[in-house]
Amino acid sequence: MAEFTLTPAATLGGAEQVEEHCRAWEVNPVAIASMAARRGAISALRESFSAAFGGALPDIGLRQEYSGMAIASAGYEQWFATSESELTLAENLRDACSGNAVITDQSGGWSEIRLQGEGARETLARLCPIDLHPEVFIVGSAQRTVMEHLGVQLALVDDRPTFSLLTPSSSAPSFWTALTHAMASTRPA
Amino acid sequence: MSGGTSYRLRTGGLVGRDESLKFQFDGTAFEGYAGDTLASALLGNGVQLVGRSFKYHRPRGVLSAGPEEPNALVELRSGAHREPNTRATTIELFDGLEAESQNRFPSLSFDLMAVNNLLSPFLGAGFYYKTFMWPAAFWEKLYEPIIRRAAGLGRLSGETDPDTYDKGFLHCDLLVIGAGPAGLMAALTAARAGARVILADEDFTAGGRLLSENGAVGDNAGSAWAAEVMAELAAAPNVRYMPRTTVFGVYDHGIYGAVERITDHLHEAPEHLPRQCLWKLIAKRSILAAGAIERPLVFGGNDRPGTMLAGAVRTYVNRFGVAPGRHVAVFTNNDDGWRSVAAMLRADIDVSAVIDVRAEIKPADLLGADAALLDRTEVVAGGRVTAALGGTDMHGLEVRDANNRVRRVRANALAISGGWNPTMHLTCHQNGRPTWNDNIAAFVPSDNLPAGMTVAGAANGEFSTAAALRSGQQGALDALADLGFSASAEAIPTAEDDAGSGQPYWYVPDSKGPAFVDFQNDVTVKDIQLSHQEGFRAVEHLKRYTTLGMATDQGKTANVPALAIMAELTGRSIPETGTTTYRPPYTPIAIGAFAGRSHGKDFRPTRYTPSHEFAARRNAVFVETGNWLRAQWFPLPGETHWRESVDREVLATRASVGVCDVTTLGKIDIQGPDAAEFLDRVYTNMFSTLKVGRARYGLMLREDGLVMDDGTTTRFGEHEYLMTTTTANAVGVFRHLEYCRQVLWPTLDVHLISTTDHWAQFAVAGPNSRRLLEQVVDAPFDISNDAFPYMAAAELTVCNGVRARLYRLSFSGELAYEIAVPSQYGGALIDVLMEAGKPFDVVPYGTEALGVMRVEKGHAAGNELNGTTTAADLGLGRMVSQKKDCIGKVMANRPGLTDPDRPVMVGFKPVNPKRQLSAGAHFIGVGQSFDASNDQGYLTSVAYSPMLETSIGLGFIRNGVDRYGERVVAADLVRDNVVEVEIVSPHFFDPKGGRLRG
Repeated sequence: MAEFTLTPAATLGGAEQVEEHCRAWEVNPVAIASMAARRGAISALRESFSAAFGGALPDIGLRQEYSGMAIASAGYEQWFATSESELTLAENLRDACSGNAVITDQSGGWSEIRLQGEGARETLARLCPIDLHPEVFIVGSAQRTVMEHLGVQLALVDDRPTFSLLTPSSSAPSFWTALTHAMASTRPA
Repeated sequence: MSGGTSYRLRTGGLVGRDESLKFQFDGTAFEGYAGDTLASALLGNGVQLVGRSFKYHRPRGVLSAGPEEPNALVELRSGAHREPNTRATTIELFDGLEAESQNRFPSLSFDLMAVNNLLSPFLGAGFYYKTFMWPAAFWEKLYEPIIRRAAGLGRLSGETDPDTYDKGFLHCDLLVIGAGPAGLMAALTAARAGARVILADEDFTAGGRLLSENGAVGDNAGSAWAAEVMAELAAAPNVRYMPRTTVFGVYDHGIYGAVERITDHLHEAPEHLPRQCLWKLIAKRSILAAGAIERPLVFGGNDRPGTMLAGAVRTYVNRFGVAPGRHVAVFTNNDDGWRSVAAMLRADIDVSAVIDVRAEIKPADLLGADAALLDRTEVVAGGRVTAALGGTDMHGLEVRDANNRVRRVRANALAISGGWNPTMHLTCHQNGRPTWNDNIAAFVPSDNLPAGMTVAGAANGEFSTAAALRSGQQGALDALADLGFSASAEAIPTAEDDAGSGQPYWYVPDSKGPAFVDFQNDVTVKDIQLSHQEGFRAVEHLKRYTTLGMATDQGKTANVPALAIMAELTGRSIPETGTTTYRPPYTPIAIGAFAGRSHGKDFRPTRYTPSHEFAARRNAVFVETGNWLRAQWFPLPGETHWRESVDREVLATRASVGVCDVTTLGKIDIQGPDAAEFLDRVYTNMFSTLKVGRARYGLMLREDGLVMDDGTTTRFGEHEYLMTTTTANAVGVFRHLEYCRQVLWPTLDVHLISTTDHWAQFAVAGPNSRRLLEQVVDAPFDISNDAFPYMAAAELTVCNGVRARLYRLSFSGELAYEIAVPSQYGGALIDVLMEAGKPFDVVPYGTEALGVMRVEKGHAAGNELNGTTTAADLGLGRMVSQKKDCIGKVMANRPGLTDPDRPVMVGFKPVNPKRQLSAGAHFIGVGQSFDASNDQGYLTSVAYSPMLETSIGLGFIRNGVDRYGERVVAADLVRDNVVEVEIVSPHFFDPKGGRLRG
């Protein structure tokens, strides 16, 4: 038995930034897994997913929450799932959908940042090319986009509003710098 | 500078007279009011001389009241914050503002460089081209420095811009550009219909010309109506009003570039706010309501300080409560000029004379309701101004009346109006060409507008206020209908509906003295005549020969008069003569605004390895590899040269054990029943035969047969592989694989996803690497040589249950492993490896030691996989399987790529082991001259081998494998390093590979 143990560390050290008009924080811990339908198996995948998680796989541009897990469309017959409570997320998905999907553990590969508050949209306008008007990007919307040259998976979690931003962990410090810069830059004078 | 006499009117204007602002111009303290521009504040203080011209250093005053200003350019702020060529007419006055005039020496009122003005007969258009032709050698050392000293505008600070900038994206249904009567009406109409509206306006106060005119809108002054509309728009949640925002360009798909000046009007801005923000406005529809720019009249001395566009005069009088001078004459060819007469008479300003080129006018009708004031001035109908007299200020005018009698007119200011040009620049940004409208003697937007754009108000040649309101409303209604909003035409408030008329009149032919067409570039009528005489008659030639229309104002006041004069010279009409091309940006934009946040270390994102903090604690020297920041070496106290550190890391690793973060290698998860087939097609060698739990080196070709990338791929399951790529090509290889998957072989059931950032991966190398890892790997996993041989791979757990992957791979040539854990454990794992390795004197090693060891082993890397080499060139020809096809295989068999004379990769070492090799050196036969005909190949990678105690290198040379033992010269003429070398096997160290299998 090895005498050593490993303690996981959040990429941004669990960073939090609070401004008058919005707040950003790193979600930690969070399990992340990607899922893609096997060729020709989309119907079977939808059935097995529904049977296991009690709801439908979200269509393109959408995100759903099921019992501690959020799953968002990430492309054609592709999804990204996150969970703060089920850290064996990839295994859970494999158990439920094996044979109909390929699943890859992405935990630690992406950092999830939440941005919340009335100034969240104004902040994201400095970074995000997508139209985030509440009537356009409604609660439950999800899109992949690019911010600050970095791939980002963006979703609107609730109408407070709370945005979820998944960005590659190796460059997450740069993304965090840009985000907090934008938050400060849009702080009401 | 002239000054000292206040031209501020006792009453009137929209400035905040109860809020006094202090400012400095050329070191002299002045006061202005809130709501002033720098120009209005200077005029309010009687300062008419504000700048010197570009070429002749002629004294210049304020010509306009807007962004078209060619003369009143100043340097704003000081030190590193200094910004040259800012237009005093658009600078919003703030308390503490500091500005300096530019392009003068030693002072504005006494400028020694004004000697150029005396030499002006010799300095006309084309002067440089004709005069500085010879001797050619004088150009760089003598002519150019002198010209640069004598000509020019403001000075850059020469320091790094200390301001911060931001950028962003905004979306809307309707973008309204300009907040004058047309823009306000459009925005109001769209806002009431519930559309998402952005109203962008250059000015700091909405209203446009309504702030300048005397006419009413509805029952109120135009400015009051504008304020009322703005109050409604401000309360509308669907409207974003963006003051101080210039829409400077139109791009594809409804994207507009805009710069918002966020803190330029503040003396000390809050630290968190950017100075400016560059916006991409994404609009479904847009209405251009940018107004119009007045044309000057061209006559002798028309650049004399005190000369001002007549519309600007109304702005200074009505908006800023400032008179343009003590005694003001007016020179016009149209009815609109008379509005300035009325405005000044109403404000009790002395209008010494009104000179109208039209003989048949009825002054009382032109003054309308103000006709009773006519007896306060003198009218010269059918007259013209032939000269504005004076020096740094205006002493009077020489005027010829309808009967050609010459007389003097008392004036220290002159309002001039040559008609108006619609501000349609943005309509031309997507190749639109304007059309000529004879009725207003001006170009107007054509039908070839950017998609989604309509033009309203004066920008469309509709000059009356009522027409502006109507067209603004109609433009909005049309856009709303297009977008599916229901809206109806509401009542439009009453307003003046007479655009007036005018007589085209461009220049006074019997002028005295230089008559300027382009004030900013000192281009006169004579220059245009010279351009015509010398054959530069096409409008684009005219521009380049005379510099007309260049520099910061881009000829906003000059282009049309110049065209008209050229048209007259060539006997063609103005539309036949054409117009120059309008390109973005509409007005100058600070380079910093384009950069936004992307400067310094934030220019591009940085990728950090999981062991970055560990490396920083160990004082690692970092190197940028793509976006990654990697530890290059880890200096210890007392080590004064990088080679000391690197040599130590290599020796320690080869003697015992070292650890290197290799997370940056690209990792691609490849899954699906067709994964094996997919890999067989993209790699030259076979992967379908790879056993589960084994890794294999793979080589990938481009479609053209040259090597793309290499790496190892491991089979973790029947349908599951993990590919690694080089750090530099990780993204490119992934893109290539996705292309293959989606486009070339869409029927394969295979799925790809990058896991580069998921796995923190460390190379653990050296004879004690196994002993180190045995302390980390959880029981019962066995990593003995028998159970876990070279090229084995497994999924296991480490440190009491953390999921991991272990690979028996070696880049160093040592007994070595790569261990990977999910990246959130990476920071902890490096600490554990160091702790567990203490008994073995483990060292962390960086990319430099990694590189040394790979050169010692003769492994090709980025320097060799440089896009010009084949598998055979690299000595890997046998890796191209003959049992199957793969991408690049066919093209790799082209004669040029199979030529046996192609240089192949071998090793090189200096004959004198103390000599240092340099990468990039070319191989020449001993005794041969150093020229291209004797070139046999080149050295790609060089390292100092602490194991061999000499410099060694890898390179390509013809027939290299057959020439071991032969000597050539490695000539690096750039670094003046010529070394005799011996051609050797590239496998310098442990050529049989016994260590890595140990």
